[in-house]
Amino acid sequence: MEISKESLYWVFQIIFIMVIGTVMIFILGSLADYHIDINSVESYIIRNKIILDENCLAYSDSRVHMGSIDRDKFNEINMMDCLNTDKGIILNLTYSGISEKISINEDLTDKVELCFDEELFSCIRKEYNLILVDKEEKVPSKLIIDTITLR
Amino acid sequence: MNKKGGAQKTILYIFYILIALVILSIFYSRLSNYFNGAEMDKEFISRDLGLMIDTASFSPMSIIINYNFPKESIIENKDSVLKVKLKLLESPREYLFLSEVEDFSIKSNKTKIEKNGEIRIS
Repeated sequence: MEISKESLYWVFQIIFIMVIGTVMIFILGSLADYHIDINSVESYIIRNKIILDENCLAYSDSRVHMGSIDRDKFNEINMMDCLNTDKGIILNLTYSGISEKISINEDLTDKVELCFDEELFSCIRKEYNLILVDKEEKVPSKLIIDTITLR
Repeated sequence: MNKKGGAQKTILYIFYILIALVILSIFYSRLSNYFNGAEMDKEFISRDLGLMIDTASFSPMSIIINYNFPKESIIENKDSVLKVKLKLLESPREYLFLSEVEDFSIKSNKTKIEKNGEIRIS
């Protein structure tokens, strides 16, 4: 079958119009798109979950003890199981002169130095004074939680 | 030869118009959602409901929340990703749950969140 020059011209014109149309749909769609900024609320909920959820750090026997965290639960495997998130989280626990650190989603936590760029990142740091239960022994501890999110 | 060329041209014109109609209809359905507030409703429900379920999930207390949507909505959870749609054939707004939540699929104008040990959405 012979394809005339005119047919080819029309085919190219149709493809061109389709591409332009698709680009316009996406550009106008993205211009009209809106997102609710929930970074600070999400960070607050993540921090509360870490401290208050017995699957995360909260110390529990027959009940959950508010404000007490379990030393045995402070490990990367447990924290990865407890938090299903794509946000970067750094936990820094200090007690009795010892300091331990856990990073979740290292591709984001590695960029903590770039947090000055508030247009690109949302970084929130909070400190908590908690009771650390380490094999029945209760010691005062400080937990610093950083949450790093791409805006 | 001229007749054949004329018919070819007519078919191409019809195809051209059909393509334009398809583009316009996609354009309309996509943008109308932004301008009538449906997209905002989806975004709000996905974030609001997602955060509420997450908050309830780690509470040590028993909780029952009755959540009413502004209009009938389709909410689904698969592999801890909440998807909210208002119509069957449209792109959903998503929220990634912090906690593990059992899969569910609801089409209604309300939902009930129950936390008594495990969290249950019905």
